[in-house]
Amino acid sequence: MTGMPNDSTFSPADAPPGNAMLIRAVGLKKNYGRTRALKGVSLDVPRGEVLCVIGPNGAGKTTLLYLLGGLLFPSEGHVHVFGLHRWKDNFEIRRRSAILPTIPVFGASPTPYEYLRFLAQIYGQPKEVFLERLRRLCDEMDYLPFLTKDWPQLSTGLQKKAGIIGCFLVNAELRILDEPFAGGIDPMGMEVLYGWMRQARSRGETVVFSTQVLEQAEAAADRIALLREGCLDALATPAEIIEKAGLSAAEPRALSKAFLKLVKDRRNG
Amino acid sequence: MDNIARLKAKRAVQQALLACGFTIAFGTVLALATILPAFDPEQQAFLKYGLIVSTVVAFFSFPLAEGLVRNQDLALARLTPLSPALYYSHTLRRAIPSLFALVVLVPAVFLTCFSLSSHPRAFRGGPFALNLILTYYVSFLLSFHESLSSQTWSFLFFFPRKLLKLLLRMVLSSGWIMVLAGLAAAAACIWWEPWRFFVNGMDALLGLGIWGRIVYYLAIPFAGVFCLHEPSVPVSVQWGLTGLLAAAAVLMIRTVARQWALSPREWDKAVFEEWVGVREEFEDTESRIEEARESRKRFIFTNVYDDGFLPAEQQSSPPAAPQRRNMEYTPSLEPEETLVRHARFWFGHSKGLPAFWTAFTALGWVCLAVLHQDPRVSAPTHDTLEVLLVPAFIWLASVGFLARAGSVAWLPAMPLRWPSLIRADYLFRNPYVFVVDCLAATLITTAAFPHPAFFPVSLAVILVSRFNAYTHAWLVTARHAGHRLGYWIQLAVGGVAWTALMPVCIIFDGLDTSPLAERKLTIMLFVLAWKAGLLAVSAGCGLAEWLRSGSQVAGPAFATAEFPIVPTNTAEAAGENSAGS
Repeated sequence: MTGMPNDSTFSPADAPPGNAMLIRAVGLKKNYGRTRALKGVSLDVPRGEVLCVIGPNGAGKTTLLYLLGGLLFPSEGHVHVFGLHRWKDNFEIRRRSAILPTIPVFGASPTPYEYLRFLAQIYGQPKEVFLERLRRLCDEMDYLPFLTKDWPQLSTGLQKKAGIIGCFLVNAELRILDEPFAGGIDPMGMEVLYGWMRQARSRGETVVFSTQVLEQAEAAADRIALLREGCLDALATPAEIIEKAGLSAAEPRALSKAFLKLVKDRRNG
Repeated sequence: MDNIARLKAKRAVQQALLACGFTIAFGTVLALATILPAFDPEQQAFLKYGLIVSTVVAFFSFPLAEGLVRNQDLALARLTPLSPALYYSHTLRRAIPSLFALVVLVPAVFLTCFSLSSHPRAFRGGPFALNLILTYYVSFLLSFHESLSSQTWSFLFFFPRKLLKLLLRMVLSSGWIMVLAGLAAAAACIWWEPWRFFVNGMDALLGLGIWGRIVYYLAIPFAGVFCLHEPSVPVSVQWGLTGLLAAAAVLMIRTVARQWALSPREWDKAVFEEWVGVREEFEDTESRIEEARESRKRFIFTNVYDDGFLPAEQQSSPPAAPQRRNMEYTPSLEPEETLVRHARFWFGHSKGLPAFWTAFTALGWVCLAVLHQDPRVSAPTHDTLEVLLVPAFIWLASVGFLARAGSVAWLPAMPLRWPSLIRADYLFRNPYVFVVDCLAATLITTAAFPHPAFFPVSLAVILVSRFNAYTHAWLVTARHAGHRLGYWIQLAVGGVAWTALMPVCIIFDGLDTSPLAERKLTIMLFVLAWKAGLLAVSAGCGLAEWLRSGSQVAGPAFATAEFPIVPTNTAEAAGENSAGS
């Protein structure tokens, strides 16, 4: 369990050397014009942890993941990943991390195979390693028959699977996935994805993902970050969140009920 | 993985076919250029149609190249450690055919045109041709280098139909053929998917809208009629065409204004609203994506938790919709902010630009029509003036396109490593801009200084033009980053550069002994003075603004909430919201 930094004098020099905390975000704010999407979120994510970000619609989940992933600039606050400054050392961080946005980006490659091959080239993966890993991942995801089909011939779910395969194809110490379970992934694909997340954790990699289905969060995540209206309401293990809501972990769908109770309590002030 | 092997074979065949196609096109042009003068006029007329096809191939290879060169891979640069080297190698491999067309095909068409020396409308041969091709290569290579080295935006706006007109008038004997060709091209653009894609690309580039699109595709055939049969086209038709374009311009302006008359405050408010829309487009993409996605998920969410846990009234009440940008119209904004808003609207926005574009076009037509009707202007003089006026109007219109850079407000929001690459991508995404920049610079400088002895001057003009483009790109970036000092320094340097070019032009133009030398000099000086003045005024505004702000060299000067380059107030932020277990 990692406590939250309340150190208001945090500076880049205080950034961790990169061993303990993989991600350190301090006072993250993000404004879209006058809309305040994030209102000062601080969190630490250690190595080898699977963190799930949940929250109601418009809570700022995607914004938070994009800020951690370097797809957005914070209006205020800062992020350090691997002990490096998110923006000053952006390229180095990218080299060591993989990101799957809400809608996967495949570039100009006309087929999943060419996309994945280009991705492997980007990350400097040797051809043999690429082919071996591609074969293994596609076998597990049952994706081999679709590798050489053009994108328009693939369903939304199959396109999403290509993005997920790409995210786990490359060597990375940090994997950020925005809504990986959404977008038409079938139950078998979800199970495979659970497995890949667990394998990544066992390799000491960190996975940060968001979801709206709390059973998935409970099944896959070590800790859960609950966002609401741009604020971090809770950052704890599923059991601690259930306990905080005054519920018993033995109840069916306890985490879902705890989540709804917490949101309702906050709404009522 | 047999399917992968099959895919590789398929790609190899596609590449080979593409290379063959371009080789055949190139060979056709060269063969025609070689053998054309040997034929009698009737056969030449037949072969000219072949040249038309080749010219159209060359012309449309640029938009077709969009599909090849337009690099969606750049999107991956935001997500992955995509290196510039890999980016370009990956891109250029697919762009070889289009580069082939740019480097070889266009000069080949030039040469073909000059080989038709017997044509009454032909350019002056010899030195002019040599200078044209030399200048084209210089400008092409400069632009190409700039795009590869990610150093600058080097776009000048250019009307492709003007180029088409200048080329086709050399080889085309019937304006009606051009009418049909233009209509066929328009039909193909509408019905054939790749070209429709191109049309959409042009639409995005020019912000044409439906009116602009109609005018654009009608202007090509009409331009052929007008230019090739000027003596035989009745004056009423010429003025009718001019009136049509002017009406289109008025319609566009009216569309922008939505009403014939608006009070200044209402007008300013309308501009403000459009401006906010543009900012939304560039800044809130992810927000809008999430909004659409979450509105879809609302259904899922409700169903998943529809187990009686929530009271019915809470279940049925939809979650609060994500808040849209709620920017109130504030007339008390700073003058500079208002100026930027208006400039972006008029020069950079999808509605302002076509209005200006069409208005300039109509103005050009009016000038040419007046010139044509003036009995004191001889035919050769008219031709020469046209060659000068067309680039002048291109130059004027280019301001709109340069200012369009101001609408690229998302530039600083990209990772620090990539802004320069984004600029290069801007060229690659729009091959028209890339090619047309070379051609426009070529035409401008060659028309002003046709003799090879003036090649150094052409070179100087192109270099200054590129430098100006670079400073412009830099100042846009610097401005968003809040570097006010750099902003006005760059403007001032640009103004000085353009001003310094004037005496060079005067000296070299003094060597021109043609009867039109004085008039050419006047036009060139006007354009240069106008550019220098514009930059000087801008620099003065920048300087005044800088002084007014208390000599703050750098900092969150320009709306840091929108362009938060440097995270600030982290100490305050750190304590605002911390949550733990």
